[in-house]
This record gives sequence, C-alpha cells and structure tokens, in this order.
Amino acid sequence: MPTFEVFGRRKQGDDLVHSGQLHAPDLDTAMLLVRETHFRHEEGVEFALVPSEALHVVEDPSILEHSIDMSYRQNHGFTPFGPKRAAAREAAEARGRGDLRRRPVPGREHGTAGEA
Amino acid sequence: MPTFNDDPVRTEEFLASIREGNLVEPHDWMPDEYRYRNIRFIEMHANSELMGALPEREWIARAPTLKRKRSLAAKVQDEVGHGHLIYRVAESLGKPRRQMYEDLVNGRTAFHNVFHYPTFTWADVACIGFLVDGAAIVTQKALLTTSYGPYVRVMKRVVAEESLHYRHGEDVMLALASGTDEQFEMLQEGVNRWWEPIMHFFGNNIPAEDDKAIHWGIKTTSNEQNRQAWMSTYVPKMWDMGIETPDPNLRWDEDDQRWHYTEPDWGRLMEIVKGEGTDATKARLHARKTMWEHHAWLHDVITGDTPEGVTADDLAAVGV
Repeated sequence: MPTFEVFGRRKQGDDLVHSGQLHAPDLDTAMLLVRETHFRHEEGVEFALVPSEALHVVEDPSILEHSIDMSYRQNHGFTPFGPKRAAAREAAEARGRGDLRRRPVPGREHGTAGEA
Repeated sequence: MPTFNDDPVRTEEFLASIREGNLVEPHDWMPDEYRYRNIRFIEMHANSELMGALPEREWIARAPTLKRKRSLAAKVQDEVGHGHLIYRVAESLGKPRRQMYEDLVNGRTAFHNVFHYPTFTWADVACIGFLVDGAAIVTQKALLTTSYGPYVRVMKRVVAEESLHYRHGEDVMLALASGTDEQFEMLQEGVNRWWEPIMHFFGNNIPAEDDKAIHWGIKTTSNEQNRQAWMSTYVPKMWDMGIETPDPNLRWDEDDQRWHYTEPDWGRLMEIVKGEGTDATKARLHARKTMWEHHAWLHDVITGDTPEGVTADDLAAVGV
C-alpha cells in the first residue's frame, strides 16, 4: 500500500510543516483519512499530501559539511563585539571625539557616556 | 496607475479581514488594486536586492584581507538569493519572473535609491553594511507584519540573513573607527556621503492615513516611524565611535521623544529614482543586462527551449 507524506498549516500564515505519514490505497482515500489521523483536534487550517515516492532525500550527509572554515557566514564569526566597541570608543577619546557619545540619545541621560 | 473596478463591499470585507491580522494567500480572492500594489512593491524590493548586490560586488576583488573578501562574497551571494526568493513572491501574484527581469534591465521598473550611488573607498562598504543594511533591517522587520502570507514567510528568512550582514558591516565599521587617522577620516567621509541617501531611504514623512501602502496592508509602519527607529538605534552607535553625523540639526528631543533633523532634499531623491540615476546606475544596469543577454542560452537550455541559432545537430553533439 502506498505511503503519503502529510503536511499541515497550523494556523493561517504559518508554513506548511511536515507532520507525519499515512498509508492509504490511493490519493482520494488518503485525503479522506488524513483528517481523522492528523487533524481531528483542530491541529491546522490546511493540509496537503505528497506521495512518499515523490520525496528525494539526499543520502550523503557530507554534502552539508564544509571542508574549510566558513564561520563568516555565522554571527559567531564576528562576535564578541564588546571589545571591538570598547576599542572604537577609546580611539574616539584619543581623537578628541569622545564628546559625541555624551550627547542625549533615547534611554541615555544627557552628559552620561554611552556603551551602546 | 490603472483604474480598478473592485467590488466595494467585498473590498471592505477584505480590508477588515487584513486589519484583524489575517494573512492573504495566493489563491485567496483579493481586490485587483491590492494585487497591483503588492506586485509593484514586492517587485521593487526584489529589484533592490538584486541591484544592491552590485555596489558591494565591485569591492570583492579590492577587499583588504582574505577574511573580508570571503564575508563580502558570501553577503553578495545572500543578496542575490534574496532577490530570487522575493521575485518568487511577486510571481505568485501573477507577474512572471522573466518579465520582471526584462523590465528591470531595460529600466522600466525601479529599485531603491541607495543602490544608485557610486562607491569610492572601502568605507563605502562599511557604510553599506552598517547604515544601509541597518536601515533595511528596520524596514524589513516591519514587513514581518505585512498582509501577504508568502511575503511574511520569505521575510523571516531574509531578516535573519540581513542581521548577519549587519554584523559584517559593524565589524568593518569598528575596524576603521579604531584604525589609523587616515582610516577614520575615510570612514567619516563615507558617512558624510551616505547620510542623505539614508534619510531618503525611508521615504518622505507622509502621514500614515494618507499612505496607500498602509491602507492596503502592505506596510504597517509609517516612513517616519521607520526613520526614527533607525536613528534611535544607529546614530548612538556612530557617536560612540566618534563619527560625526553631517546634519547640524540632528538631535534627540527627550520631551518630544523624537529626533529632530534637517529635511532632506526630496527633489534630489526623485531625480535619482525616477530620472536617469547616476553614472553608477547606468553601469550597473548595463552589467545586469549584459549578463542577462549573455546567459539567455543557459536559461533556454534549463527550461527546455532551444536557444536561438542552435540546431538539433548542435544539441546532439553535446549530448542534449
């Protein structure tokens, strides 16, 4: 008996998310059954079925690995920012431009220095 | 702007529904004016992602270190990817992607003002990454509450990647700000150049009730709200680095809880986006058009059309 992949949209605006599988003799029967097996408790506002044989899963996981450091594609490739910001503040003071950060800005009282 | 004959009762129901926060999906009924305005808005956004990759692409070969070269190349790749994701959203409303691309490269449709400007130094890369991407994060985060479902879902991913681009921008900015006097001066000059384009970026101070994009649920925040939000986040960061903002009237008013600033020259914005742009505009559109034309054969091969001037024998010779 064919297998179908079940996708559901939990509420309007959400993505269609994979929520399981279903055995049924054909698509029409699967469409009837899926409401009872997956969506009888108001789990979603929309559902969709795809024959399992239509899914092509990448079997070699090494395709997702990087052979070189690609941390520049991630936030952690740049953090921590604290020391870099402190260095820029120090440089600003040394250039005689430290007053700029004592100007009033939202959430900062006049005359106090920022640590944004 | 075409005229629309949308059923007024149905249109009112539709507007009431999106004001309640309901999202519109591609197969839902929607007023023609909603469809038209969304296509225009989303297409311009996609155009801007694609054209926005070009000013930075100009610096990949000139990046000062290998680290910067790689992160810039990765960013340019992301921006082009955003363009394609967002073109798909516009396409789901009925305008074919190919037509959108043809319209862009032939100058029939617009893209954001900030991508019309030439770049002169590495500081422009810092300013694009820090000022422009910071501004884009403000306006794109606001789009997470737009009314068209596919646009919301795509923007979640785009905003996440955009915040990484901002990290890259701030990193370049901080390096120059804490560098030599020459580097600092170069950065200050960059900020001076980019200040007016950034003020333009958010659009004029049109009241929310007169803004058709807000009426139709495309935007949920006003231009001025976005500009104020941007200034509250990014101006203090620049001042902390000792960078002067080139507007002498710029100041935070604690009593009014808003920023005061000099009104930019809106005529200049119109000259840039509706007129001929700059020399950089022409060069970048030419680059896009040339790439489009030179690679049309590949598009044809992938979509199964036989490229112009290619015979069945030619295809057989390469095993197609």
